[in-house]
Amino acid sequence: MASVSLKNIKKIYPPVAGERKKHQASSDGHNANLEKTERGVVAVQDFSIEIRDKEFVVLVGPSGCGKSTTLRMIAGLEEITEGQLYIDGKLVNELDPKDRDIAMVFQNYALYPHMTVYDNMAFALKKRTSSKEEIDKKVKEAAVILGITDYLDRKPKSLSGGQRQRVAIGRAIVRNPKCMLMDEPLSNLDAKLRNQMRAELIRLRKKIDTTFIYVTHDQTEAMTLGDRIVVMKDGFVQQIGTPKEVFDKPSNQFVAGFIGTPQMNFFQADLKEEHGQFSVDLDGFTIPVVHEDNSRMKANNIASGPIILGLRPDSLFLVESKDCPVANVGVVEMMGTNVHLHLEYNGKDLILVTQAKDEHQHLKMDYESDSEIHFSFLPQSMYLFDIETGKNLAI
Amino acid sequence: MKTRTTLKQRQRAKTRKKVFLLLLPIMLFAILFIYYPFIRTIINSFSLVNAKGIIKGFAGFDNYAYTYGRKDFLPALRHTLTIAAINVPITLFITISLALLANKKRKLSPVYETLFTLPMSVSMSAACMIFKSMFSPSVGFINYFFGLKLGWYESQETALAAVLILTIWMGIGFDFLLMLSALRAIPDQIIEATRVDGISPARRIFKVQIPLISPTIFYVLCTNLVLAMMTSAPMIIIMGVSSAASATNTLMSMMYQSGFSSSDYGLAAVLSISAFTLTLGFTILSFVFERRKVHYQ
Repeated sequence: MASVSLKNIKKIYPPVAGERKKHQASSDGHNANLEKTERGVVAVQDFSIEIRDKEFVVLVGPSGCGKSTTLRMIAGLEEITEGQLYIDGKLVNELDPKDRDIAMVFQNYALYPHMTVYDNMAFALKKRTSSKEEIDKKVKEAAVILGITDYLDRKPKSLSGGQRQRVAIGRAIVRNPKCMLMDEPLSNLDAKLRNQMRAELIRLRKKIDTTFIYVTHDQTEAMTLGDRIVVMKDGFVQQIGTPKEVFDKPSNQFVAGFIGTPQMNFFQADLKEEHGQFSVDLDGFTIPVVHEDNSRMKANNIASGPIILGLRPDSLFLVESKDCPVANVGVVEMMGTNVHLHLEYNGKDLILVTQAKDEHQHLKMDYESDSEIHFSFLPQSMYLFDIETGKNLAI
Repeated sequence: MKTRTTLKQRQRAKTRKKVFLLLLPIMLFAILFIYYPFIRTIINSFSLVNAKGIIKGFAGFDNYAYTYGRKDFLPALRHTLTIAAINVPITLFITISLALLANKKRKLSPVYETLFTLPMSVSMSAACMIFKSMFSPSVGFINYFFGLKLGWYESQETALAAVLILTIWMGIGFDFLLMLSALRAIPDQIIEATRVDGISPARRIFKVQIPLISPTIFYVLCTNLVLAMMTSAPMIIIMGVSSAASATNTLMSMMYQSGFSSSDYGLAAVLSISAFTLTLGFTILSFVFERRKVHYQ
């Protein structure tokens, strides 16, 4: 129920070993790639974003990228080294977590193990609201929304992982906070339950109107839950955009590789220019760059030379023609609807996703190990990246 | 099927043998130094025992009647209970408070922790000697420091207080360590959850931290109760064995005097059995309390 705005937020952990360092190590893993300055290790660099009221923003990135640290700074559990944090237009840098009117759901639920589900949810309310009836009403309402009415008298110990997570969410929503912070709330659940809870979170979001900031390392969660995604790496924000933007127009090679499963394939290629038309030379095969990208690259003053060519596994397809790149079949993974072919191409691994059944619903599974196959792709499925900076050349 | 069962049985027999062999040394030890003396004490308490410790005949309840009829028995019992009743809550209060203070890891944490656990490294008899001189009315440090003019050993109350101060001080180090490790074992995220939820520090301590370390508190409570009731060394060393120190006599120090100084084995046995029964009773009581108040994760 509030906007959250981060302006050039920065987190530097002082070099002296202490409690803070321990925190960083436990929440984000150790990352040797973080920038080290005289003042210490920079865990988050110049993070700026305007999160609108009721928006669902997901911070995603590999461990040690600073996503959890950012969330903890918003929560007030971690000091903000530089920059300003506004919640609902109010500067909250120096405020205690309790005065920020936020709620947080932790990865390991952080339920009070000695209290019943009811007390867990009512505990934070007991101070805020005076009447017992009001607390009771709020707790029961939240329990109905989350489907935990039957467990209100139980202790967390006797609940399953999914149920515990619901209680943790319930504890957060009963307070009706301005902003809900979630730190990898689903990563302690098994795969099936995670999918189920993810769907429930989407439903839940419609029922509780508030701003969400959600941290995950799982790009599927990020894509399915977020209105906008913030991709982070080594403390730097890589890209902020809607799931579609981040997927279709990744700002650099890292984002392109991080978002989407299986991972995008990368090739070394050469960029050539003839009469204002760019083309990509992949080991002797020349593919023209589509018009739209071509004009943007011209506007960007891109010079010809070696580049990185990115191709998503599902944009590669098998062809009979011998005039196409050839690869050797390695591992064949039958995924059900799709087949993941791990191929060896010029000494490098690449993945190709193809339909398991042809148009007549016949299984196509005649991929012999080590046999040669030919693959191709469409020009519009190409992503071109700078070989040094990794920047997307066509945006 | 049949062969598999026999194999299983054979394995089980083998395991049982191994278990027995592994347990043998400690079993021998326990039998020799715990169960035999215990049974011997029970037998002694119902027997006529001479000064050499040899049983001369059956005495029925004569020893008990004699012991409970002595005019110094009730004061000793009262002192035992008083020491336990005062020692246990104060120790719990001090150790929990110290642990809460030291919980957060700071730069100087190792220093505080070492300071708080230091009493552990002092042996009981050495501590008794140190405190004996500290309580000394004329040259003692305590009177000097607090500007008191107390003759600590003169009245029953101050003598008991001296004993209590000593025993509490002795117990703090180890119990503090237990409390501290229990507090630190509470996951960080639970404490962070209380911060985000806006729980006041007092509510956090009483509603979250203390309930979560209740198993440790219970352990400290039980062991301290037993230890406090078994206190004897301070009375013997500080007050002296023979003196009119019945001012601070407990069941245990009285037992020591009767058993080792006066060689009155019947009396000593009865006192031991009485102290044991008392401790057992309190332990059972605390286990009843445990069911309601202690939360195990």
